[in-house]
Amino acid sequence: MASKGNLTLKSCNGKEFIVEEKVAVMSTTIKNMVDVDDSFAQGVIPIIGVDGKILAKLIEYCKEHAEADEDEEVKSEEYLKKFDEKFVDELNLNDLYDLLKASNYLEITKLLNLLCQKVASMIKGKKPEEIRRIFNIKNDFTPEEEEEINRQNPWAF
Amino acid sequence: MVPSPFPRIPEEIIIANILPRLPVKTLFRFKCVCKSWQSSISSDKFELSTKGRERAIFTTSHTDQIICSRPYNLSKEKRRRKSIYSIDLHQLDPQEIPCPIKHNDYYVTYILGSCNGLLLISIYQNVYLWNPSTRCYRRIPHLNIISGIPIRPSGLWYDKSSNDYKALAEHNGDQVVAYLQRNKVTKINFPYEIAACKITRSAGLLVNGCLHWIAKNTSAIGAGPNIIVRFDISTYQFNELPLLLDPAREENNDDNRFILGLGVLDGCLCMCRDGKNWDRTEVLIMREYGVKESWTSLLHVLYWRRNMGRGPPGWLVPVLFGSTTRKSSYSTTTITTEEEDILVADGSEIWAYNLRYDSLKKIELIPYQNIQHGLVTYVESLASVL
Repeated sequence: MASKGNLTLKSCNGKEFIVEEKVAVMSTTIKNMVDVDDSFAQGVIPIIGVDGKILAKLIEYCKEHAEADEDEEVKSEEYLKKFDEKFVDELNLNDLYDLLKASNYLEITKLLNLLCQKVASMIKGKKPEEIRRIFNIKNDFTPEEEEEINRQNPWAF
Repeated sequence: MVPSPFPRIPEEIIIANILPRLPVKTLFRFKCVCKSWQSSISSDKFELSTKGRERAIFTTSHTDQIICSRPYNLSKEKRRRKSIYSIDLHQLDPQEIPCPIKHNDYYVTYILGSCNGLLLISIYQNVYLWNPSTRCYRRIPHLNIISGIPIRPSGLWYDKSSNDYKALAEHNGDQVVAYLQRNKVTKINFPYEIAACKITRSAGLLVNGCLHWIAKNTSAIGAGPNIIVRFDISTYQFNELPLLLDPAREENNDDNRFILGLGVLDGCLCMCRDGKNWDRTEVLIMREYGVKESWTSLLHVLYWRRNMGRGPPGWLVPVLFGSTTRKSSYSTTTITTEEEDILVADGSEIWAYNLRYDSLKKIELIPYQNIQHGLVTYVESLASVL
């Protein structure tokens, strides 16, 4: 059991992580659980659908940011910016996707924004047909409709 | 090939959190990805994230054509504006955008105001509301510029109570405030002489509910522009913004150092002003709006460093500025930037000034082109001109 001020998070594949409460409550979902039900603060919080590897990554991120929020002098904005850059650069596509989904579920807004920004920068130069392939989207326009849209904004292509 | 993990990203995350981060041009291209993307992007409720969307717009002409001391001796062909450029102030990559209207193959474009990503521009005698990001425009029939060159102060702002844009501009030779949707025009008397700054010209800078221009204090003999005039967009009143004067001159309230340009940094008004010894330009920021004592010196640019041996220093305008990390009190002298530089521009060039390394770098823009007019900043948006 976690000591006072700490919380235990359990991944879907059974890995347990003891983290400081201030780190865990970077997740709005966890914060709400702890606020509403005291037993979570004492026992183990199951993190459904997030495996140990991804949970470790999430904790790594939240730790840096929780410490920075607490004391601006120790970790400057510039330090965090560098940390964030390195953090997303080192992710492979699968981890990026898993983290994105987990940070959405756990409502870690800062991290979700960071990951979405990364995806946005990866796709901004792409063509519509590449986008459909990347996101597995079905083109539900008729060729005429598609041509009409393209005709309205030829400068965008 | 490794399959892309992205097919599994829920559509609501894509639409709510990824699409709003894309450039407007990309969004227009992605309208044809599928119907749900098209309707989301076209919806009134679709809101772009604002981060990193600061741009500046300017017109250029070929450098070999601007022996500009006598521009009106040049043929019409040579005076013709060559191009309009928009530049991303973070990536500094100028993109040419076509002028919305060509006036008999000879057109002169001036930027009269900037608000919410929309620009008020004049092309020859006509005035338009233009969104350079979506390329939509609309002519404002109840505004015109008889001379074709705006000489009066102008500006654009959004009026919440009427849910309409308003402009300070010209109509039939009068100075007016006009609604842009309704044909309603009110005459205004502008009691100052604004300085005909080459690159910002007449467009007032909107900060804290007021438009700002640099102007001449007519009481001082032989003075250049040395005051900042503001126009309150809710009361239509004009007055002077308090300046921090040289202590030695504080007594008689007289400081003849020229103000060279205005800009915004961290939401605060900034100005470029001649240094005490006339050998440098000083950039100052008004940390607390309207509070004279909050004017803080940000940096000095020595003229020789700007390679200004070729003549008088000319105008210098702070165009954008990375964030200067705001400390608790404006009286602090230590200001650090992030990696972003502070940009300043004169009549033809943009310079990046790095506060931390005290270094100045010229940004190479477009070969053989000089900035003619503009460097008005705006934020890329989907705002409608209708």
